[in-house]
Amino acid sequence: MSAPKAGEAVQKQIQQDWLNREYIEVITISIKKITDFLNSFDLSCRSKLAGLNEKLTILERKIDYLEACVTKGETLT
Amino acid sequence: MPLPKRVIEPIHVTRGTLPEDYPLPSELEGVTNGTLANTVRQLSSLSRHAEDMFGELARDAQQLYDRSNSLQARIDRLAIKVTQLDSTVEEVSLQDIHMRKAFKSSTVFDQHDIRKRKAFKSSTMFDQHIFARPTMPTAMHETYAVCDRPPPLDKLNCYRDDGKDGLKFYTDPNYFFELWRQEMLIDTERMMHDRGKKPHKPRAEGGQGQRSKKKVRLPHNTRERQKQIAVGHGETIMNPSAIYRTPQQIQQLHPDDMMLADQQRPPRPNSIEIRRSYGGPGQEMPDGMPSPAAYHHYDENPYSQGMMQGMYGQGPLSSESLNMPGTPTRKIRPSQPPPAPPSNGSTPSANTPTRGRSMSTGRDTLPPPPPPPEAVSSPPNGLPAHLARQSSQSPRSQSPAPDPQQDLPPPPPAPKQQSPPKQQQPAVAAPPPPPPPPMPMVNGGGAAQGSPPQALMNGVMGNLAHILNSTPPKLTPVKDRQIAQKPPPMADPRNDLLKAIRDGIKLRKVEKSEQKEVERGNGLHDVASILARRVAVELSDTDSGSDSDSDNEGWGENETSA
Repeated sequence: MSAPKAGEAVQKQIQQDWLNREYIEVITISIKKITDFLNSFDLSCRSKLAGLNEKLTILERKIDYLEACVTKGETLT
Repeated sequence: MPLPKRVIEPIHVTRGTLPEDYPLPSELEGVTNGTLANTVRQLSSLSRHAEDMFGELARDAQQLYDRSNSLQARIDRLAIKVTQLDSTVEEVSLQDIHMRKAFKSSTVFDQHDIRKRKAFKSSTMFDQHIFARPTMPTAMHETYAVCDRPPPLDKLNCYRDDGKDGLKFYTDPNYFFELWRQEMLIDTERMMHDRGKKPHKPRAEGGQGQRSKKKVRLPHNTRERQKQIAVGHGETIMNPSAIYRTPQQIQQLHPDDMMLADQQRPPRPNSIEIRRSYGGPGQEMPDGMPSPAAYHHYDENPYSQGMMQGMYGQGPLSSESLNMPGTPTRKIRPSQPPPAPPSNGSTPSANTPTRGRSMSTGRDTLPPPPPPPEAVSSPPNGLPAHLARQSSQSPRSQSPAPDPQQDLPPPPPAPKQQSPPKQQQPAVAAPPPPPPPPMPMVNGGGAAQGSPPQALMNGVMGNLAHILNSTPPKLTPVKDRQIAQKPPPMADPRNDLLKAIRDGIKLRKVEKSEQKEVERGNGLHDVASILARRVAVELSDTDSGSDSDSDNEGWGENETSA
């Protein structure tokens, strides 16, 4: 009896270990997903921010030009 | 080796989770618990990186928000201004606005002046050192902090002889920036050189030096170049042409004088040489000095003759040195041309002398002075008619004497005439090589006279020397003293001209080195300054209207300097 009991106990432990490993696998995969999301999010955000930055720079230069023109006209008059 | 920006730790979740020295009832559960704990650590690390990442994004977004807000405010103000603009009021044309905008923006005092300046600053601002430590994200900073520091090779700098930083042989973060900076500086310098060396123009002092050079150069391109070259080598080239031309001028002036001149012509070179012998100690002194000084002495002092004799008193030496001093005199002559002008004022009238003087202007005057001394010396001694005439005239020299013999004295100036031939008789004298042959013809009148006249001259000189020697010794020393004193002042102007030319070249070089240093100093760590300088150089290139002149000057300078 002891032998079969011991074999059952080991089998239980192995099964439990597999369950635990599966649980850990789910957690680590979730962490990877979070990481991938964060990376993609960071990448997309930075690209969008860069686009905004570029547009803002262009707008600022245009405004500089317009302000110079307008103020010029005012000063002349 | 690439470095990951963010590393989630621990990487190996299940390794080392089983304590070795502590017996566990269930090792599998222990490993599982340890793995779960490491997973939680990974989550914490992930949350930290996420927080940092969101923080960066939020910061950038906030900057964009601020910029967009300020931009919106500017747009609103601009819209108000535009609406306030009145088309009925006279306005400058759009072209004028465009043209003046750049300048006015900085000079106009307006409500928006400050704003404009800021705006223009922002427009001219360049993003510098984007990939430098200050702009490095905190995550990368942490990664760098984990990395091993470079070996402290800089501690060995004290043992290096070349003064280089030993650490830069291992790692040099500024290496590529230095490469780029040097390339840009070289490009700008090259552009400036191609342009014609604009930097010289702005320099006031350097400009004066160049002007003096230009003045000298403009009159005679090839000859002045030769002169400059000769100055470096002793001016041997200039003298032969001068002597050679003088006879031609004399012939044109007075055929009658030519005969006398022929006799004297051979002596002229001798006289020049004698002068040279006098000048031997003071190279430039003899030629330039004697003419003005001698004339003045004649007028002012009865001793002037004595002075002249004194000059010839050295004559014996001169007669001996006639052949010898030739080279030194030649050297001296080139330098003389500048001083010549004063001599003209002293001797106004004589036809030939005046012509010669007028021809050579300043330069011609120099040679004439030597002849007068001969004339002076001759009268007391009872020298030949020519000499006697010269002597009688020499005192008159101040009062113009049309005598042909006087003309003869002027011929000695022949070396000075080098310049005149260019102006008046360029066609005749133009070919320098041909002149040498004519010289013998004129001098000899016959084929073999060349040597005899010299012999005669030597004999005359020897006589003069004897006469001079016979004359009271006091006179000679006095003359010597005066001459010695005078020559230095005379030489100064010439020296000044030469110095000005030489200094000018030096100044340029020095300025170049200084500029380079300045550029290096300024451009060391400032990309904006380097770019701004380059842009300025390019703009200045387009603006510079006198490119041709500047280019020519630059080339000429380069050639001379080379």
